Amino acid sequence: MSSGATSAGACWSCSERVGVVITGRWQNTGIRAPTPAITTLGHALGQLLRLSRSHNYRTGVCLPAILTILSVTRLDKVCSSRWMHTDLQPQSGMAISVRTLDDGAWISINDSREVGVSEVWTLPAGECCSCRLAPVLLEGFTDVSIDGQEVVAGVVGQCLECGTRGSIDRLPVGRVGEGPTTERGRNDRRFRRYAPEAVSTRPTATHARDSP
Amino acid sequence: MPSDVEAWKDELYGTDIRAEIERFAETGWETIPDDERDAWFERFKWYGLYHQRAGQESYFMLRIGPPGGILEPGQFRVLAELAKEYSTGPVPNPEFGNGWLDVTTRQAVQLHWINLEDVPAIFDRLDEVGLSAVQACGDSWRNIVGCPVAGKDKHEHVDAHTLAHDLHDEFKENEAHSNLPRKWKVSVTGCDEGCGQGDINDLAFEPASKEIDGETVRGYNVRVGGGLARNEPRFARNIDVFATPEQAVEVAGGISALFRDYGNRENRYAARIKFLVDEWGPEKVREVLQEEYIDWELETAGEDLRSEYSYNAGDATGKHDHVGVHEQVDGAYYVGLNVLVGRIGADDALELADVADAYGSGEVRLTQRQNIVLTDVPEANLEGLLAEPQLETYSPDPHPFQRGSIACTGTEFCSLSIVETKNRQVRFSRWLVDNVELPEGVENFHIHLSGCTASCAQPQIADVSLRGMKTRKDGEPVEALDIGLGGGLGENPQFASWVTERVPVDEVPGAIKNLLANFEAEREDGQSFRAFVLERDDDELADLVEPEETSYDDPFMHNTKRTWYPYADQDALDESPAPATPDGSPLPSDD
Ligand code: HEM
Ligand code: SF4
Ligand SMILES: [Zn+2]
Repeated sequence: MSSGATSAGACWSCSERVGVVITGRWQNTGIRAPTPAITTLGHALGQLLRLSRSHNYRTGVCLPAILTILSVTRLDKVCSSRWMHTDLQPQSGMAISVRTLDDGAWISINDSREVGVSEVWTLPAGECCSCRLAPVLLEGFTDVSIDGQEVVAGVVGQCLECGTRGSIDRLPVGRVGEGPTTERGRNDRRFRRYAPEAVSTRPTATHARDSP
Repeated sequence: MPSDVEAWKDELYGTDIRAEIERFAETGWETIPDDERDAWFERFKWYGLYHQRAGQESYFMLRIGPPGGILEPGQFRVLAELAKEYSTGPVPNPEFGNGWLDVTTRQAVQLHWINLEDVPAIFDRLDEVGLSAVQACGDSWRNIVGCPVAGKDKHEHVDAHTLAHDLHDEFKENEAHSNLPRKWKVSVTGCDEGCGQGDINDLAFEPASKEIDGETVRGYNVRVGGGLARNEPRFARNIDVFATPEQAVEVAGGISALFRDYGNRENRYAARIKFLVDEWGPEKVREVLQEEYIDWELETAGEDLRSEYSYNAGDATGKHDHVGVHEQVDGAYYVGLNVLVGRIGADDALELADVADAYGSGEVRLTQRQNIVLTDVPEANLEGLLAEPQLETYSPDPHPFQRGSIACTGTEFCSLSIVETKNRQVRFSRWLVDNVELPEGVENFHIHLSGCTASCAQPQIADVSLRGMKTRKDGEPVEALDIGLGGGLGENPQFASWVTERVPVDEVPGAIKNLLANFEAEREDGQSFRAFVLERDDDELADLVEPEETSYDDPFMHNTKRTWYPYADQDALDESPAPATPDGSPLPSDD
C-alpha cells in the first residue's frame, strides 16, 4: 500500500471538523507540500483554500496561508508530531506504511527498515522446494503488503540444501499488533518480526513456484 | 499502481532536493520526520547520497562521478581532503584504517560514514573545483563512463572525452531527463580496446566508421540494453544506428526520452531498459526512436572495431587494463597504478595527489577496474615517479592476482550484500600471491567478487567470477560464494556460467588453487585460461574447481550482515553507535 497523500475527487468532510493533510501548492512560496490542518472544508481539488492555522512543514513555519488543493488525506489523530494518514475509507487504527526499499533490500514498516534480505529462513516442504525444512536464503523482496495483522512479502530466494531458486508470493514475515498509546498520543502498532528459523510458530507461505 | 518511489518523485525530485538536504543538514538528521525517512532517503540518492545499511543509521555514502573517470588537476586532492576530514566512522577497518576513498567500477569515487550535517560544506568544496555528486545515484543519468585515457591514448579512434563531457553537460540537471523509470548507465568508448565496457551499459556509444556522402566519417555505433544485475545479465544490443560525434548527444537524448516515456514505472524490478529491449527487440527500439524522437534520418550502423577489443577480454592481445607505463600520443606517458579493491587511504591519496602534481600534470583518472592513472608524465620524470614509495603499494607492476582483483562494497555498508567482500578479497589475493604459482604465460588473471546478484563488481566478465551466497558448514550457516567461469568481454563477450555454487568462503582460495593446477595439467601448450574454459562444459569445469580448506583463514565466516559493522569488537546490531551526530554523540532511535 502506498502512504503518500491520497487523491480525492472532492473533500469528503463537509460538515465534520476533521484533521487532514492537504497537499497543496503554496501561493507564497510556490512549492508543493503537505500541511496538516483542522478544517471543515467542502472544497474541490484545484480550489484555493485559506487556512488560518496550518503548517508548511518544509519551512517549519506556522502561518495563515493560501494554497491550491492538490490532494487531501484524512488524519485519524491530530496534533501529534507524526503524520498519520489513512486512505479515504475510514478504518480502525492507524494506517501502516509498508514497502520495499533500496531495490528490494528491505521491508520498511513505518519508515523503519525491519526485515532485510540475505538472511536464511527455514521453510517447510513445498514452499520453495521439496526439502523438508528448507534453509532458504532470501535474495530480494519483490513486494510487501498487509493482510489483516500479518505482513506478507513476495520474495526471491534460493534453497541452500538443493539449490532450487524460486519465488514465494506470500511469505509471512511478521505481525503488527495494537501497541500501547504513548503519551504523545501515538498509537504504535508495533511490528514484530517472525524469527527466520522458527518455522513452527509461523503461518505458512503460499503460492510457491520454481523459476526456470 | 505506481510504486511509492514514483509517488515521491512526483512530489519532489531533481534539483529541488538540494534545498531540502541543506535544510535537514541545518536542523540535523534527527529532524527528518520518522515517517518521511524512506521518501527522503530515496530522493537524496539523486544527489549522490545513499543512506547506509541498518545499524548505520544517520550515516551516508556519498558518490561523486567525474565523466569518463577524468579528474582534472586538483580534483583528486580535494576528494582526498574530503575523505580525510569527513569520511571517518565510529571504528576503523582492520585493512584500511579510518578515512579512505573507494574507486568504483563505474569510474566514480565513494566516501562512507558521511554525516548529513556535513553535506552542505562538502557540496561547496566540490562545487569550487567543478566536481559534483548530482545524479550519482537515483533514477537518472548516472556517471558517464568511458575510456579513462581518452585524449592521451594511441589506440583512440574517436574522441570519447569530448562526447562524455558533452553528455554530462547536457543531461545532468536536465529537467526533461532527471526522472527516469530507473537508473540510466551510459558508456562512451573511443578506442579499439573497448575499455568503456559499453556492452554492460544501458546505452553504449562504440567507435565506428561510416561512409556518408562518399566520405568516411568517424563516430559511434549505438547499442542499448546491457546490464548485469539480478540474475538477468544482458549485453547491450545493436540497434543499427551510427551517430556522428555531432549527432551523438541528440541520439542519446532521444533514447533517454524513449526510456522515460516507455520504460516500466509500475515494477522497479522490470524497469531497466534491458527489459524493454527484450520485449520490443532492437528493431522496434530503432523504429520508435526514429519516428518519435529524432527528426533526421538515422544512419545505419557503421563498421566497428569490436574484433580488436582486449579490455577484460581474457586472451585477446592488447591491453587488459590500464596498469603500467604507457606512451601517450604527445610523447609523454601515463602510468596506471593498481589499487587493490579500489580503496585508497586518505593519507595515501593525499600523497598520490602530490606525486601526480610533481611528476605529471596533476590529473588523476579512474578506471573501470577500480584503478587510477596518472597522466602527462614527461619521459624525464618517469624514473623519479617510479621510485616514489607510494608506488610500492599502488604499483604500476603488481602481481597478477592483485592486479586482477575487484570487489564491491559488500556487507561493510551495502544493504543488498550477502557477504563481506573487500577485506576478504584483499586476504584472498594475499594468500594467492603467497601460495599459488600462476601457470606459465598467464599474466592477467581477473577475479571479481560481488556481494550479491546486483553485480557491482562485474563478476560475470572475469576469469573467476565470485558472487555472495550462504551455505551450511558443520551445521552452521556460513558465508559462501558461487564460483563462475567463462566470462569476459572482447569480440565475443560472454557471461560466466556459475559452475560450482555455495562454496564456503574459507574453501574458495583452495578452489582457485586447484582450478589453476588442473588447468596447467590439462591445457594444451600455451592455451589461455579463457580458451581452456570455453572448450569445456559446466560439468567438466565443476570437476576442476575442487573447493578445499587450506591455510587460508577467514575471520568473516559468520553472518556479517547481522552486525552493525563486521570488524567492530562489539559487532552486534544492538551495540551500534548509530544514529549519531557528527561529533559521534548518539541520537535516540525509535526501536
Ligand atoms: C511536522 C511539523 C508539524 C506537524 C505535523 C504539526 C501538526 C499539527 C497538527 C495536526 C495540529 C492540529 C491541527 C491544526 O491546528 O492545524 C497542530 C497544531 C498546532 N501546531 Fe503544529 N505541527 C507541526 C509543526 C508546528 C510548528 C513548526 C509550529 C510553530 C512554529 C506549530 C504550532 C502549532 C500550533 C500553535 C498549533 C495549534 C494548537 C491549537 O491551538 O490547538 N506546529 N500541529
Ligand atoms: S554487488 Fe551487491 S553487495 Fe556488492 S555493492 Fe553491489 S549491491 Fe552491494
Ligand atoms: Zn531445497
